[in-house]
Amino acid sequence: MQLKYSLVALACIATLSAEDSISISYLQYDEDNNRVSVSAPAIAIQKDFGKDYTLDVYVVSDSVSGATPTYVEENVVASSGATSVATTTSVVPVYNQSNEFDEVRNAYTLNLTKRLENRNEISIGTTVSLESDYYSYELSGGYLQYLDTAKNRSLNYGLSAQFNEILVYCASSTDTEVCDASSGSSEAATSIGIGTEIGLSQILDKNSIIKGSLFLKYEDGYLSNPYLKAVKDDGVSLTLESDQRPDTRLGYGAYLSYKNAFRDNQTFQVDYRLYSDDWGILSNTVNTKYYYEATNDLTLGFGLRYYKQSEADFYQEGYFEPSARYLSSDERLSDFSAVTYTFEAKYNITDKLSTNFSYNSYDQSTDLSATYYTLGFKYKF
Amino acid sequence: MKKVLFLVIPFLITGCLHISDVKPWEKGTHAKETMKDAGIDKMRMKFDTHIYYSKEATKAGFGIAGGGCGCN
Repeated sequence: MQLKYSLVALACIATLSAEDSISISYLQYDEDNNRVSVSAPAIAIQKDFGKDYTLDVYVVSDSVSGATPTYVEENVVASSGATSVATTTSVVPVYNQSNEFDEVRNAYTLNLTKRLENRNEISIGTTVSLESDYYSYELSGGYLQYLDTAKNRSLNYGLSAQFNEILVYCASSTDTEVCDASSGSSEAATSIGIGTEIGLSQILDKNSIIKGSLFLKYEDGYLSNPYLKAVKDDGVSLTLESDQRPDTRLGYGAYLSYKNAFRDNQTFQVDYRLYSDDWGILSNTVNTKYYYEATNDLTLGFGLRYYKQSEADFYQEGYFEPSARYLSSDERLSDFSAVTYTFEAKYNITDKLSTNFSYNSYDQSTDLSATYYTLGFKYKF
Repeated sequence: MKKVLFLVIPFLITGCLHISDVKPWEKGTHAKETMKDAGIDKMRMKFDTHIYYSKEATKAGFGIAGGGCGCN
């Protein structure tokens, strides 16, 4: 009996005093056909203060360069006349694969978790994301409530509020709501986002756990992409217009995950997400992972993710009617599927220091294909 | 009605499964990284989430916090 209580005490101590750690990681993301490339170093620190508080810090810097295909205006010279050649120049919209950009995004996240006397947890966090033309501020809070004394079942609630400021360049924009096209100056548009989530987690047995959650997100404000254009066709001429989307969006869905350690050194994970919103997007995501602990120090992982979405109600690949209120030819709002293959490995160099690597291949049924690598180190102290 | 049914499915499933009474000292496997949502590399999951957020139209269901981006 005494041994049993000692084991309980050891298990509790192990749970309460998670090791402090510092992690650094580097992402290199490259799309095919010289589209977008991203280099992103990141650092994460986890630090316990006593047994009741944990602070998480995460900082990432994305350097993004490349090109996103969109419609641009191009001068076309036409000539006519048999004896004396006359030339005319007209501006027509063409789909350009190399609309280049180059920018840096820095994001900072702080999260503090407080454990109560009954070991339920309250967490609060904030994220600030800064780009030259986009600022985002977010506050979030969560509550984890154990529903049984053995702590095998828990509910978690979460709420987040986000404020975004988007700089809209007006030189070629026709969106008079957010910019002054006559002066060509840039103006800031704003949007807010409110998200909430409720989840249930249940340990099924010594080797498996299941989680389910419902989530909802509401956005209001400027939700268009200031860099993308669409084309209106009135039967006589083509005109280039700014990407124009509804100024509200309500998305919601459900998430379910199952994890099973079916051997001492092998674990299988599967999760499914259903998402729907009032723009007409309906998506299904299935994500599977398999981990194999080859030795005490080496763990290998293999992942396969399948994603499919329907197109937004206002999305169109070609030209829009003159009366169209919303217009977007952003292929991210189109009907497509995507598959990700992942290989990852983690190696414990010493008891405190480990390294990890991953190779990922992402293929959409659109023209987009990408590969990305991550390399990182984690030091426990 | 169909959407409501979809949304309650996670709770119906988690509520109907066979559940063992697992004692605290039997949770060693659950403490492994391979049993965590993020798997063996928490930072890679953050990168994944950011990539999917910027390349797909699904804008929720990534967890409660994360921050926004002007993702091109």
